[in-house]
Amino acid sequence: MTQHDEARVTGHEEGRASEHPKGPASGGGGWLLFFAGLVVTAVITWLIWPTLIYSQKNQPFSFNHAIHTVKSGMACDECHKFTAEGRFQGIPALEECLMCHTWSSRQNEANEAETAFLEEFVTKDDRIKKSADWYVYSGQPDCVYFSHIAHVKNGGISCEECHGDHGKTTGLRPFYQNRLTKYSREVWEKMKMTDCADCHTKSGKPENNACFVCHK
Amino acid sequence: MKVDRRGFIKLAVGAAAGFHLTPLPWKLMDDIAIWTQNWPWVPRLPRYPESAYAGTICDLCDGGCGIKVRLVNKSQAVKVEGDPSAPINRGKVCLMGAAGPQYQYSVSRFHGPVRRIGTRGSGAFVRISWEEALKEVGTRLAELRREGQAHSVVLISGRRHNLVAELSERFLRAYGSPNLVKMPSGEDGRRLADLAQFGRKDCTGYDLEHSKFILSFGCGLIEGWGAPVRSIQAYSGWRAAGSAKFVQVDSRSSLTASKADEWVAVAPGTEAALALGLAHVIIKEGLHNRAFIDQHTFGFEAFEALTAQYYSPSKVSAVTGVPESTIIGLAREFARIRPAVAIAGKGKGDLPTPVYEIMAVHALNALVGNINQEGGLIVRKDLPLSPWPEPALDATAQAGTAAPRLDLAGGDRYPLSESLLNNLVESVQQGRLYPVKALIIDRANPAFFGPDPGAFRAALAKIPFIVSLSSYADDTSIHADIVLPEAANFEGPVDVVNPPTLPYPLFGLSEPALARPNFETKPAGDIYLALAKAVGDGVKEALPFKSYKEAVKAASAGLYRSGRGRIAQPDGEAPDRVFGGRVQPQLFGSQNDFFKALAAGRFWYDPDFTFGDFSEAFQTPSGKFEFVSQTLKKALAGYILAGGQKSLSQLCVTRSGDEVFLPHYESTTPTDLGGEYPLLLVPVELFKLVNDSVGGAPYLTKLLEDDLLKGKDLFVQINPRTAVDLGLAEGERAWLKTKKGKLAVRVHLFEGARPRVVYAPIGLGHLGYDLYWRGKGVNPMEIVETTTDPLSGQALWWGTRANLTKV
Repeated sequence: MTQHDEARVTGHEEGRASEHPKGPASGGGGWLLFFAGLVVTAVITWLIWPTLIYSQKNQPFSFNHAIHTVKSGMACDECHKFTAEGRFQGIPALEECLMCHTWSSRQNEANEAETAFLEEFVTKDDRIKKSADWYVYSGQPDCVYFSHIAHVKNGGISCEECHGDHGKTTGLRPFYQNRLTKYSREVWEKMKMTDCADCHTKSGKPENNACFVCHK
Repeated sequence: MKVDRRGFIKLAVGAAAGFHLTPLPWKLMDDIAIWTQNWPWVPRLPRYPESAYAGTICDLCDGGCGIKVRLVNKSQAVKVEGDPSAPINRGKVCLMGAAGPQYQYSVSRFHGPVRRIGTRGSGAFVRISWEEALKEVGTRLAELRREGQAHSVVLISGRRHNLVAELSERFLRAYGSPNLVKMPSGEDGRRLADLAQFGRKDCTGYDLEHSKFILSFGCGLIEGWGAPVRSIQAYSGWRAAGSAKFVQVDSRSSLTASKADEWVAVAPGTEAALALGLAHVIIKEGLHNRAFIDQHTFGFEAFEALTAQYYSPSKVSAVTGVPESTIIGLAREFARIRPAVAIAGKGKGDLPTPVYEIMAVHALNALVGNINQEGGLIVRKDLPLSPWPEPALDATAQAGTAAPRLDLAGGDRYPLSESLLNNLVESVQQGRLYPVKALIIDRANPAFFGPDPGAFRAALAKIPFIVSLSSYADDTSIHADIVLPEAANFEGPVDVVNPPTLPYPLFGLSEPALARPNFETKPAGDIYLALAKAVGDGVKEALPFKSYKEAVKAASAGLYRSGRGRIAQPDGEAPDRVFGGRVQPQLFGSQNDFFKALAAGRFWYDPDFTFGDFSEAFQTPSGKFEFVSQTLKKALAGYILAGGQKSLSQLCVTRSGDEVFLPHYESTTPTDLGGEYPLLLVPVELFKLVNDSVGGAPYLTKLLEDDLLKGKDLFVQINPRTAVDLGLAEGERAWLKTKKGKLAVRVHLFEGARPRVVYAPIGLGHLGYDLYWRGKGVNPMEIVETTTDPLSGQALWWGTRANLTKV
């Protein structure tokens, strides 16, 4: 083999080294590209990804809490009740609404929302004709056992502390659901296990963070 | 700016870096993890589940407890609670019953009929349809019939106390085989003792709740004896009232003994001697109830002479190891405290109890005159079910049923016995009489429990066709060629006939708790009817029922026609006093009203009982309680006459004459301990270990303490003094050796264990089932030696010569 051949094999030729800069970037242009990539990704993940991953769904109808609480003075637990055994009943069945809103006895004939509700859900002889499939903003996964009464009665926590001003809203906000996990965005981003655990610890009850307390 | 290859890479690296600076990687991992849990085949909880209770009867044992099963969406059983309206258990339930959902969803369950594709015992099955399964079994059985081999079909059944047992018996008779062999049980001895002394098989119960002194000869009262939940509640009642004394006679301090007021430690197997020793003292001191004995007993003089001569306190003390003063004191207490009752039937009721022992304990009750009195032994009134029409046997069936039984029960030697599994296995092994061409196994696990499971498994090799009705892949059903799984707990209708030791007649009938069975199973009664149909050929005509439900309804019509009894009030509470005194029968407008009430309330029972009424009590030849059993005399007359003294010694009777027909003590425990086998091995039953075909509930292994089962090691119990003699420390490994073989165990030192006796729990060491139970611990039944109960021929196995040696 000649010396020339050897050089070709090893890829090493004298005098050629300086043409290929060593190192990842060749100066300003390289770093610019680097940061460009970084920024683009950041924008995508922080801004665009949430809109992609969460689907937006509307509730069956836009229930106006404010009219019922602020105007009519009802308390949260008049509709969101505890049973005698202490089970929390969650979102009331539409039959509860019939206690005040029926064709034969309407709260306000001029109110379009009430009319729309009656037309869609209530038969002319005042029976519910279809149920409302509510999306639960705070729905926890199946593996979690959450006891309302432990928090409301034993913990003395008011509804607002976890559910915010929901009781004063005039309509129902859209339900954002993670397309992959099917969980509500509000739970997925703000009410995960660590959030529950932090509050337990802060309230001086770290023992409530034992596994079996929530995972039965 | 031109982005060349390198530039692109820089861009990409920047993007990757940016990606990692955001929460996205972690969020994506989280999301994907949950996404995988939402795939369509991952089970999900129902969103807004509908929860309801379904009332039914627990099917796990013969106790007949009424239960309420909590169901989600009518299809998933999640919890079991006792039914407050049920007369037996009154709202309570035992640990096994509470574990009912575990049985329902056990991984050992067959999902439908299967055919074996691997070797027997490998557990390799393939699913087939009911049509195919029934056709195959039916064809096989029909073929045997045509070849005149109907008698070679054996049915081993663990069913007692329900109408399916009755139906299966008819099926086999209509088919043409005499070989219905029941799994051995403590009830075998009791049935013969009842027959011998009262004139009817299985007619005695106890009014435990109202007794003030309970003398228990080894009965595991709070460990599953009798109707388990009822027995436990009776015990609780004594404690709550604080007015009853409970004395347990037991060779070790079992759970029941440790909860009793007094524990009398006897040498294993000598309980009958103690009972007769007590009788001796009672008679000698004139404490017996002369009025009752004169009016209602027969043969007292002979009994008096026997006990006087052979069962003095000193003699009994030598045999049993119980101090003389205890014997005398106990006898006086038993005779003086009223009402007192003596109960028999060791362990949970599965341990074989010699007939003479039960007769001796019955005799104690007769001596103090507590029979048919409040708080005493009660001769139960009959259960007025309408009998099914006798099956019309065709020629084949008549010929077949005339063949001699393979287990020799009911023959010359054992004229009164009904089933002797030990003899059946021997017959197959020795090729005695005729070979077994087909074996059907129903609610039984003889490959695990019984006097010789190893011999049973070996005998299977000689049987060409095995069918099991088991719902579970137990030790026996894994050897089957075809499994026709019966509807398991909650899936099928349940009927109960006179649970053991109840003083009143009771019939329970319930629909399944689940609206539809989880798996492709059939109620056992319907399986027998389907088999009859599949065999065809005259068998079908002999069982003229369209369905099992119809058959049971026909039987229950008799309850209505009797005009007796009451039905439990659904959603009500059982009365405070369930038995005794004058109770008005419940009136029904019509038979239909009755059926409706029975369907809703589930339990018919007759609580009405006039204490001191003996009009129906004794159906013996003399019309009285017989100390000297004329029934036994008549049955054995031919045998004794033919063989004379030889016969008597074969009956293991060491003395002669009338003694054969009197309760007396026969030593069935080896007395020649020493040398290579200085210890006695006594297998024991525990409440949380199951030895019948239902098997253990998967998660109940959690209840087994570390000094019973640790890892895969079973602990046997020995007295600390014995441990010192053997040089064994707590927890140490040892070989438990008998002449039959050896097992690897560990030892637990327990002061309540009798010295020189090894107690080995029964219920572990399974070869079948699943990862929860298979291969854990060892099965002491594999190495027990058996002796034979002289009168009944049943195998007795608490007297095995054994040794424990260091590993």
